[in-house]
Amino acid sequence: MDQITNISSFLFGSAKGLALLSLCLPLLGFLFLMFTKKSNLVNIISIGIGSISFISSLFILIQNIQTGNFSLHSHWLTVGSINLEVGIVVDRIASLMLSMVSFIALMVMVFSTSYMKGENRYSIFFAYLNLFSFAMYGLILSRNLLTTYIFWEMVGFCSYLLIGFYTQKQSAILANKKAFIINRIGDLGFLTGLMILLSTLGTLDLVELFSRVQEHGIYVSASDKFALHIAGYAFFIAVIAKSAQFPLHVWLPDAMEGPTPVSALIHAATMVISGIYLMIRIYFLLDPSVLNFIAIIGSFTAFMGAFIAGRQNDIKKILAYSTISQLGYMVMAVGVTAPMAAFYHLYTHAFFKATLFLSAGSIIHAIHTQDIREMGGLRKILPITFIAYIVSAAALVGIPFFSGFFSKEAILNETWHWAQLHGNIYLIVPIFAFSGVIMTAFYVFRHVSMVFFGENKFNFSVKKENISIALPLILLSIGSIFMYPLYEEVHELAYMPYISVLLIFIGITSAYLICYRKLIKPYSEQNIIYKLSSNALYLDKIYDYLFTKPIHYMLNKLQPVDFKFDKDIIHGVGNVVIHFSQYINKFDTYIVDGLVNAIAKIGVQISLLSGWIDKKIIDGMVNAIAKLTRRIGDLIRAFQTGKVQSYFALSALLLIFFIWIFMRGL
Amino acid sequence: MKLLSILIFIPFLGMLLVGVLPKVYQNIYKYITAGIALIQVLLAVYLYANFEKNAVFQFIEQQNWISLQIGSLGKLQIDYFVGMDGISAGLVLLSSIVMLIASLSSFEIKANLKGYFILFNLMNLAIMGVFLSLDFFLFYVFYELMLLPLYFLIGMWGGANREYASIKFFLYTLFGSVFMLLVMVGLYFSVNDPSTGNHTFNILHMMNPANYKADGFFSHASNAMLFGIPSRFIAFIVLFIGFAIKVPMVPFHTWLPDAHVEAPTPISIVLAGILLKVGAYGIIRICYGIFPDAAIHYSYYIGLMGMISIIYGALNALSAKDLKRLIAYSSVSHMGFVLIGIASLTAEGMNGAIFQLFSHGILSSMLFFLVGVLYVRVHDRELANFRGLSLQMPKYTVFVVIAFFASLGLPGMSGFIGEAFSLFGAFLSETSNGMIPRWMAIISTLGILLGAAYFLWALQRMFFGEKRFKLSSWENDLTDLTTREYIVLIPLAISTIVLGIFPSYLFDWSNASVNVLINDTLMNGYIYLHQYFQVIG
Repeated sequence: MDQITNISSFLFGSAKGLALLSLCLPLLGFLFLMFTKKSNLVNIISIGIGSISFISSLFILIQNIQTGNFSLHSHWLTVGSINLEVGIVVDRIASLMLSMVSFIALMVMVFSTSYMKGENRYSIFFAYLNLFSFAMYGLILSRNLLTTYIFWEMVGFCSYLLIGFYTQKQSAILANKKAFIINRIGDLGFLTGLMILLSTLGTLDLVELFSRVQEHGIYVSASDKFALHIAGYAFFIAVIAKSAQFPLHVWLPDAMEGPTPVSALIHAATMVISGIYLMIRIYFLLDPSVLNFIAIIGSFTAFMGAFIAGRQNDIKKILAYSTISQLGYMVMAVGVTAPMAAFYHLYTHAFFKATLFLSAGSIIHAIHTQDIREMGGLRKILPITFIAYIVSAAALVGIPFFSGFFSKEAILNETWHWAQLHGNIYLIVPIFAFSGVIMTAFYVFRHVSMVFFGENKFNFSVKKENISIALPLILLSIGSIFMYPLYEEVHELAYMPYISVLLIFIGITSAYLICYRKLIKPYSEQNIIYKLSSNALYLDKIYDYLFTKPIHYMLNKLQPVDFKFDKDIIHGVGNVVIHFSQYINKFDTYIVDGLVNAIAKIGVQISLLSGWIDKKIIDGMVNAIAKLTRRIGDLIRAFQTGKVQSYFALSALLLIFFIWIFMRGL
Repeated sequence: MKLLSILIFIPFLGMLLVGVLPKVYQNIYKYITAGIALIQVLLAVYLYANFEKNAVFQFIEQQNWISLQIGSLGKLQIDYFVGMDGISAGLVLLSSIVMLIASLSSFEIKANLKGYFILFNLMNLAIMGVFLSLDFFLFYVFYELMLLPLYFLIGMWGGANREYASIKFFLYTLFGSVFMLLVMVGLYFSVNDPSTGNHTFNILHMMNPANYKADGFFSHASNAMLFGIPSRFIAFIVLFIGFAIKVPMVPFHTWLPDAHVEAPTPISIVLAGILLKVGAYGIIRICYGIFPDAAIHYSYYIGLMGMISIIYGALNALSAKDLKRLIAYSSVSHMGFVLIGIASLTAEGMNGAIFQLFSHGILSSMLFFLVGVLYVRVHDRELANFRGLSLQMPKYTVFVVIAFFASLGLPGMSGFIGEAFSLFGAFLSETSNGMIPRWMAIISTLGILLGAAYFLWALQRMFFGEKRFKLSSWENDLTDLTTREYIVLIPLAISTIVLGIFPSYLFDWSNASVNVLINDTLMNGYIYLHQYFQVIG
């Protein structure tokens, strides 16, 4: 009894215990939900666990503000020189992340009770959500980079399960395979980074790593320095894959095949930002050249995502490209040495993007289409959705006094400051960033006007949002209004707000003129900008011509194979690999195994030969000798005829023979 | 209590019982066999639990077995010498578990039960013996004894092309063992028992450089050469090839897909679950233990072949059209991690390799059992003939997903730990002992990516999407799991997850023995190499 009281007082009484509790409860929830079918019970358990996690995360945050960081760890395994501890570390960033993620997870679960109603794998869906929450909390709290990696893959696995939740839908099961395999490419980077850290610094514990870099940072040998430099790139590959940066962003738009609440939780607010979270965690390991590279990739992705979003017609695809673009801003912020600005934007983005996705979910739930051309006038039909969408879209664009304004402002300030320091070609980074702001305003205005304004295209009556859909939307959109006290400006530029407002104004005006009033028609369907945008910058085509087609051409030269070109790089590479694997298989069957069979055949032939020799020659000789003896016997017997005349004749002949011999001899 | 002997010879009781009981009672043969296997599991668990983690060889039994006075050659002395250390502890536990799974899977064997179960028990006996022998002669006897039943079990109870497969398997592995015999005899005449002065087959004595006669053929001091290469190197190479065939290492792997495809399900389980481990165990115990100099000398190439096996096996799995062939090639790929871990000669890599042996034993048994579930229902394994199986057999699909993801190295399951630590060791090797370069580890990580590709692709093609089978009658034939299948699958699934979360349950057992092995190998190996160097110039 005492033990139980001790444990429970530990779990509920201390912040450490609470952290452990909020980590483990979702796992228990997952195990339980896998074996239950009653949807009421499912709701109670999921929302109960979600609420407990959220409330305890608030306690943890308060505790952290009052008493500072704390951590908890215990021995996990010892292998050779590797001594690994599992543990959690709660610092300001982790506790803020935890509260945000648990809040959004709770909201998404509430939303899903309506959205997924009547689904026959309802409980499985919530089980997966719980497993995801567990993995995500683990990722946030993890103290050791190896356990971070473990949770990193687990969130990817949950994403796999949830994208492919509709197992019969061909596009969904292709999308989840693609997402997992692309994330695996990133995982290889992560694993390589881990191996380098282990061999140079000898530990994977974040706290220890930090202190070692602080102490010995400048004393590491040149080769270790180079290795750590490579490790920076290796970790960044992981980030590129997980946070959907160019050129591995291709999985995220496809991932929209999953149920919309999943898109809101995993592919907008939480999992995809874990790349940025990782970079903030290991920021002290990244050296300047890696950071420059990160800034360039991030800024290009920010621009590219916004540009492509401008001509998409599927509301979820628009939001997906928008997410790619916003993630690009965060990555860029890390690259321009402003990880805290990145974290700030990560935080605000999570709220408004989750709201946008859930609102999209509410629309899809109500009118069963994702094509914005089929929508229109929805502001009257779905008023709460409309308000939530407008508020969070304003935050996304960065209109003053919405949360996104402050965080994007921080990033733009830092970027501009950084570019001035670096100069030259690095000016491309702020240029991408600023034009991204214009494009963002453009695509947001375009699709919002198409979805909510204009004439009502629905002649059937649509049900208004019910409480479990409306409540999350309202609560989450409140989160898009506040300016969070998370960040202190480091390089504040007085004119930056005016610049960004100007950029937004340009974007909105052009969208208004081009898309809404159709006053200016700078592009028809044949226009180059239109084509670039709606074909996702032709990136897939470029990959195809640069990479996939030449290799296929060569392989087809060797042996023509019925082959269909796919439209993006991963499929392209995948097909090349599969194609290649068929050659390997042929090689294996005809050469390697062929050789074995040939040797066996030679063996058989030799044995046949020796068998033949044995039979015909050795045995033949024996037989021959036997036969010879017999023949001689026969011959001799032939003489024993018993006829005196022939004896006499024989004697005479012999006599003549001997005489002849003697004569010759003499 | 001679526990190890009981563990080894209790299947003999099974052989007797099955042999004596008339055919009228042939339905209980399988229960006898499964019962024996269950006792072995309990015994192995008991031994594992009572294993002293910081000591090396334990539960030792040593007895004079054959003692002959042969004229001028002195006294022929062969011991019955068995014992368990951290390297074999896990493998013995694994073998007992896999044999239990295989014996449960044998319930579906319908023809010639008497012969089947006698051979099965004989195989069980030999397998336990191989892992526990510490006398080379005894090891060799068990090693050969293991091949014989396998040959018949594949050749008589296998698929359509079984004769080809079984003779291929037999010749391939016999090729390796012939040379082993020669090396064994050579070693015998090079090593003296320090207490009696006689020649000995004792493996522990063979591992100690002090026991070599100065003029012995395989003595480092004699500098005996064969074809211009030190004789010890030649011995290492032929032994290594013999074991590498079992592992199997590319290019000696082609028996494996054929044997697997033709073998009945329980024998596939034994092949992948245990037989491949015998090869790796032999490399660690015999090749690396007795020939440390050659091990150091050839580690680079072994690592290279490991890397090639990883990539090559994965690519072949990707192009496979038969599910069993896919899994067979994935075994080639996964055993490549074992090779690269061993070759690294670091504690991390070697422990990782041993972990991977255990993990792969569990997972490949599970995978082959799962294929068997499908095959026994519709007698087909072609990937293209199934689609949307998750709708038809949802519970079966859950286990397939667990097995596939564990095999492709999802963290939280055992496959990840084995692969990750093998690679960690390989990567650390360059800075700690210079055996294999880092790029090998980095290229090997591609195997993890390809693993995800072929498993997920198979999953997508066979299990997801709209339901569509080759024949419409399959809708009735493809029923979900039976109780017996649950009994097999649930413990396997649980153990892969438990080991993924608590890898210490293996690492703590193997750590001490591996440290001793690594230290001895590096120290003795360099002493030997130094002597060669002095002689050669």
